[in-house]
Amino acid sequence: MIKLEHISKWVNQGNNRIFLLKDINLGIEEGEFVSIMGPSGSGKSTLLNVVGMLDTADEGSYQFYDQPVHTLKEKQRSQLYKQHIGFVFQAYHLIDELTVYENIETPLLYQDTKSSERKALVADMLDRFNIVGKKDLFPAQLSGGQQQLVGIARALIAKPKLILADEPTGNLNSKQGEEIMDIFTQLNREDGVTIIQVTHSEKNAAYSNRIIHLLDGRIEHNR
Amino acid sequence: MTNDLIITIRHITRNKIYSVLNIAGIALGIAAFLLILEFISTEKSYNLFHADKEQMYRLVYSNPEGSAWSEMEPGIGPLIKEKLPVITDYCRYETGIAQGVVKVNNPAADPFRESAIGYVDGNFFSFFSFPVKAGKAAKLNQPFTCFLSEKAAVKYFPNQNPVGQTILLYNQFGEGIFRIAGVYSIPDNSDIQYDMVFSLETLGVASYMQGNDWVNINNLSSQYIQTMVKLVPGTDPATLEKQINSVRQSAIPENDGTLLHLQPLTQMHLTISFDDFYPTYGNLRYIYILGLVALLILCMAWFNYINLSTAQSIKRSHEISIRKIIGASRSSLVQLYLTESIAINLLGLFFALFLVYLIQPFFNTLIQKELSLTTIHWNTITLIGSLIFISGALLSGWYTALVITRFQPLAVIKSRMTISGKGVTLRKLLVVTQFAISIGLVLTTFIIYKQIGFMQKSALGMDIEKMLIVRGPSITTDSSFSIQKSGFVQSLESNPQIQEFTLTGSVPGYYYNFRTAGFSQPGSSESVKQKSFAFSIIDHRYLSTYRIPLVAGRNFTPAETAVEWNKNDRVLMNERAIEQLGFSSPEEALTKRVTWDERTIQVIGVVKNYHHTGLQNAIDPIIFYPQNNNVFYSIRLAPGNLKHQISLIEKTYRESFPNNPFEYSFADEQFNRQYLTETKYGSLFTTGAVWAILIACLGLFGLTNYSIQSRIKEIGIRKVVGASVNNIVAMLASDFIKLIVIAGIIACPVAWWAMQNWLDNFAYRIEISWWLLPSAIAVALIIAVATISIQTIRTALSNPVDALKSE
Repeated sequence: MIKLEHISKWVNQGNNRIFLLKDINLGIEEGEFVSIMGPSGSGKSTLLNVVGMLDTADEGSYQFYDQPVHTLKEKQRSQLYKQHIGFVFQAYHLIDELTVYENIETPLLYQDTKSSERKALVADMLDRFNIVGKKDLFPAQLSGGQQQLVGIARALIAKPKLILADEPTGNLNSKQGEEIMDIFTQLNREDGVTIIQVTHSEKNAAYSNRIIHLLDGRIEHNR
Repeated sequence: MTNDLIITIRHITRNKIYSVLNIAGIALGIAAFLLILEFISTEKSYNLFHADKEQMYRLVYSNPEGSAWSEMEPGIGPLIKEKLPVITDYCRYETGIAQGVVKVNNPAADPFRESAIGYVDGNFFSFFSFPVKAGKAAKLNQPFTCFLSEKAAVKYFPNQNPVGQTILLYNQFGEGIFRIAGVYSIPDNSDIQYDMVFSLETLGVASYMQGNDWVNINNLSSQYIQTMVKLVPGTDPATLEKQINSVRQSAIPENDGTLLHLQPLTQMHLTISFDDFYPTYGNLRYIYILGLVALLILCMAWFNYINLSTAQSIKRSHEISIRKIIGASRSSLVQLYLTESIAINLLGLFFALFLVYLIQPFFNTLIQKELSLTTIHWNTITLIGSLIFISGALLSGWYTALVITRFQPLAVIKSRMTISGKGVTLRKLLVVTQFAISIGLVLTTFIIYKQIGFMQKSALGMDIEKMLIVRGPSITTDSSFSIQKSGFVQSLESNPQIQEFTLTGSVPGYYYNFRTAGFSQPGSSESVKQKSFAFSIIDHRYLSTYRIPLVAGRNFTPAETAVEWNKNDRVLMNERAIEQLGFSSPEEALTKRVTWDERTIQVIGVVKNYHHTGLQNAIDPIIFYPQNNNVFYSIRLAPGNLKHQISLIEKTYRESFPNNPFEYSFADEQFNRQYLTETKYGSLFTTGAVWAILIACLGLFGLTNYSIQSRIKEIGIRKVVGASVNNIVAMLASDFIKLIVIAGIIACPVAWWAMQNWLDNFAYRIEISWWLLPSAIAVALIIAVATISIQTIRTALSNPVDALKSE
């Protein structure tokens, strides 16, 4: 599904080139549940963003479903990730001005889904995460765990093949965190959704079937 | 205080975009305000340099129909001075009958046509306060003396002393030789403007008048001269008016309801209110419109300031909170922001002065005056203007300061609170107001130009294409003149480049020869006698040259145009005149005699109505009188090289009429010159609209910037969940588009109503098409979208990761 070869990304600071990612080679198969670990500043989020096509590498090649992402134009890339990838963030990144229902619906709006179909899909999602009663509330009226549920619901609404999660439980207490990880596991096993998560916690990483350790932009372990 | 200043300077230099937008907006506003202030203060300063201005009054006539005019019988002045001792002095001056050609009394000198010249009373220079630069003022008392303005002195006598020299004046009285007794200057802000003045006493010399009895300087029957009187201080003008009227009544027993009034000299340029009927030189309506535009634009600039500054307060809320927590009082914060506002306004003023300097030449062309910052007159208008400026600057600064310092400090720091809802509403309101003003001005401009276009393109009922109008010779004293004239006419006839030509006393677009009343026919009612008819003197070639059709009867024969003025009894009339006389059909008019005072005339033909004057006016009833007049030669040219054709005509003209200046114009241009006022309004409103939109767009640019900053996270999220660049741009733009549409909905009816009123002044006018309203909104929208597009597209293209990782 994902094949990264010799991926490097850097910033120039004066005359020095600082590598954020250096010569990353990585393959991920469909149906995997991968955790990316490593200390702060090791390049975890950068790697996730490159995989998610929100960011581009300066060097190397990236194949997604055999499509050469590194050669695609911005528009084609966004078309690609819109269809296949859902994002979950540590800070949830819900839109404050929209209700729970509207937040979940947003991706469908950008895919020109019909109104009746949107209704059905959002209703399914609300049902699945048990938040039907909260659909008219605004994000500020929800607890952190509930907000993250909405975030996941939004990521799943367009039926992506890949979920990218950047420290999804970082702002949650342990009980809420467990709930989220259970949902991920279920998604991975029952729906066959590929999941890549960035995490600091060994406990969360244990839910996955592969862990990649990053240090200073390089892959240290890959097991 | 110095601390405040330092912080202000730092703030201005750090937030470059906001500072530039703010200062630019204010500079544009102030510049427009200053330019208009120049104009209005000059208009208000007119005629105020006369020493006895408070005691000076102009005599004005009014009639029961509501017309007012200032030309009167020359005998009125001496008569009322003699009978009414409170009138200490009078001065008469005329502004039309002296026009002609002037030439230095020297065979080699060039002749010039002069229109700003007149016969004036001998006390002209002592009565008024025009400075005499050379010669003795009192000398104007003598017949055949004249004074030259400094401008004319340089024109006719470069590097010479004109005093004591003689010049020749050729006009309707033939040739006059005048001795130059002095040189004077007239300030620009005087309504009385003469390039040269000739002694009125000259018109008392029988040999000079050549039988023109109507011009007799003591007559009480022909109205042609302006009369100004001086009163004993403290005289009540209302009482005196009554006395003047009874004196006039006893001298002129005719009871036609005409009344004399005293118009204060101080109100000769501008009346006090629209209700005043006095004829004036300035236009009060124009002043009000300009003043309104100036104020609106200045307000828009301050709205911008309030808008941009309160929007920016999001950024500064943190700073303010910390200041408050460490003990700043609200008043000290207000003082800080007031300092900032004053600094921005002063910087704006500085750039505005520079802007005025750059725009002045363009503005002067527009307004047709020679103005500059140094011509601003220090009068009440200037004072009011300065007060408006200072209070507006303070008010906008003070309001901004209040809004910004309103935050509760802890709330801001804890929750990174965004700006209060009230501020957002206010900003939207200000944007709506700004765009309402802009759209209103755009719509106004559209309608003015539609009307001008309509007037210029309408069928006139005659043909003025490729028509050259040559002024006939004025120096006609030569005994061989009639031979010269027939020679020139023959050369026109034999010139293959000329299709047709005609000799007339007036031409379309150049008014008429005169207007008069006293016509009736056996079947008409008594009131018809009071109705005025326009008189146009033409020859037998006029109708065919201008391609004006006859609807009944026949044209003049060449023989009829040769009949002496008082012996002629045949006329043509247009359909409108026939109607006004009460004939039921053109054919009926041909069979009946028409009485004109004590004369009887015969209508031999009826001319189809055509537009002799601009479409502002309804078609007048016109009587065409046959004469071999010599004022205008209208020449229709054959297709060909225009330059060559004109130079050919010029050559024969100069040969036929030596010593006469060759002056020509094109009939269509001449005709369109009647729309100069409208065109002036058009360019003025275009400028105003462009200016307003410019300021509004500066504000919009700033607000978009603000809106993007405060929604940067949301935009990032939306992009991550799949929004395209177009989605984002549409989302950001739709907010402003809504506001602009609302502004349009408010502005359009107001502008529509105002322009309906304006259009009612035109006898022939457009109906305002409904689609002009959305077009005006569309113009504002297109410009607004262009303004915000760069920023929004850049934002939409930017990497959402940057926006999201700031957490």
